[in-house]
Amino acid sequence: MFAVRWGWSCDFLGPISFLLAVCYVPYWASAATAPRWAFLSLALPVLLVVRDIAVPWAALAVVGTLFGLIWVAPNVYEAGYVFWLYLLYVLAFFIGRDLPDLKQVFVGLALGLWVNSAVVVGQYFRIFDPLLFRGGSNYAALYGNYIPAGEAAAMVVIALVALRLWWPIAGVLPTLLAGARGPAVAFGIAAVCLAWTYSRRLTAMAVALSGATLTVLVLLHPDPLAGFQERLDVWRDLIPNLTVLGHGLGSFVIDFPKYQDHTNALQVRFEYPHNDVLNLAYELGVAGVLLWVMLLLRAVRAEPCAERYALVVFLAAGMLAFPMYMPVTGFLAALCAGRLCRSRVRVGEPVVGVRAAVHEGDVDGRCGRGGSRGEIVST
Amino acid sequence: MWTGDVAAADRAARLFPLKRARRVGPAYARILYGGNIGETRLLWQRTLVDDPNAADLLFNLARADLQAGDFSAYKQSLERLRRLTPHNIYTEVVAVPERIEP
Repeated sequence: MFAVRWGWSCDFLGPISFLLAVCYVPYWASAATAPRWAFLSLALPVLLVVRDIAVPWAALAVVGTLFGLIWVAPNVYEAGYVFWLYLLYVLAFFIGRDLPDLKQVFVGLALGLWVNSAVVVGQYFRIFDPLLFRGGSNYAALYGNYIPAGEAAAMVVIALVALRLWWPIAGVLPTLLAGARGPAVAFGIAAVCLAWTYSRRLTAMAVALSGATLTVLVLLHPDPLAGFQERLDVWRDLIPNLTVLGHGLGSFVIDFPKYQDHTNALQVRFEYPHNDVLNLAYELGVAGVLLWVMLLLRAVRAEPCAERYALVVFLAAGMLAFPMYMPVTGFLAALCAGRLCRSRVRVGEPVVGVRAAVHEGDVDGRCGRGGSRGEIVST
Repeated sequence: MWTGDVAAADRAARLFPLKRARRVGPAYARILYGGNIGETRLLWQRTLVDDPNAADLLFNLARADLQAGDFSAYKQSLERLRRLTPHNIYTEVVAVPERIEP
């Protein structure tokens, strides 16, 4: 019933996705994340202007719940920061829920990742000023670190494969293969899930290809297990300190040095535990874990579609990193979750106009191409 | 910030205080680029109120306390640091050194 209102705003999501993928302000601290959050903060509310009144009400309900949690947080600034991110995800979720499809979002992000890939190649051949694209790792390009870039690339590539949209993929591959192992593993898991829906032969090929790619990345890495050992150390310190109600929004970065036994707090400060579930469990307690489990169940139960596999990459990458707190992956996951949780049109309910018929085409809640299943009752 | 401009870190901290990295930016800029010891100690003490578990800042504060000749503050900072990082061994300076001007 909301579909008619979308009209023009839907057409802007492609360019918005492109700009989000390339948004980077050189020489800033947080050059890769802060401008993207700012961009989303401007773009998403503008998109929601055309939305139905139900969305602000639903958003307010979530805001109210989260706001209560802020008061138990150890630092109001950090709580406000995480709260703001969650609010943006709520908005993206509702936008995704009523979109006809996310094809233009995937293409927009892919084209943005082309630009990133060009910078990655330029960094490889030492063409660019290293200070301009200063990051925590090699080939960080426009993302400050090659892991979030790789995660975004993995989500986009698997979605494009599921959509059988081949032409944008080649330009994204340098970002995906820049050296990050976590996104490669997550992509491999999603690729196997995707291949499983076709044939066992294809599944075996996906397993072999993913394994070979991961092996190459591990062999090329100077110290393949260093990052994993550090993550294990963080988790071993974090798990005994989990509580039922959580420690509050944004509490991890403030509190965690108190619990650092396996790592030295004087030498290293962790902003994230490199595991989204543990981060949610630490900050929001059982409620956070339930939120994550609901997302997982939605991805497991969904019909095979591009959004499902992008979400599989997101969830798998979240086991070893923090895609939930990065703008591109978080935004895309929220859109995908919204799309997989889209409202169902009951049989017999009137649907207004031809566009509405196309948008609400998958009335049975499946996320195939809008209108392709032909189950519209009335227009 | 890596250009050595401490004032830029101050402006960034005021403009966007939501992220810890921004709020503690001026304090870390002082570690890198130095400054008046009295002002620096005040800045680090203020930052530690906002981020009480920043062990590296606490370590630098203890050193600054010692440099400033404030022995009781030095012992307090060192005690906090010991509680925060119990596995580290710190050798306490037991005599008050001569005041070192910046």
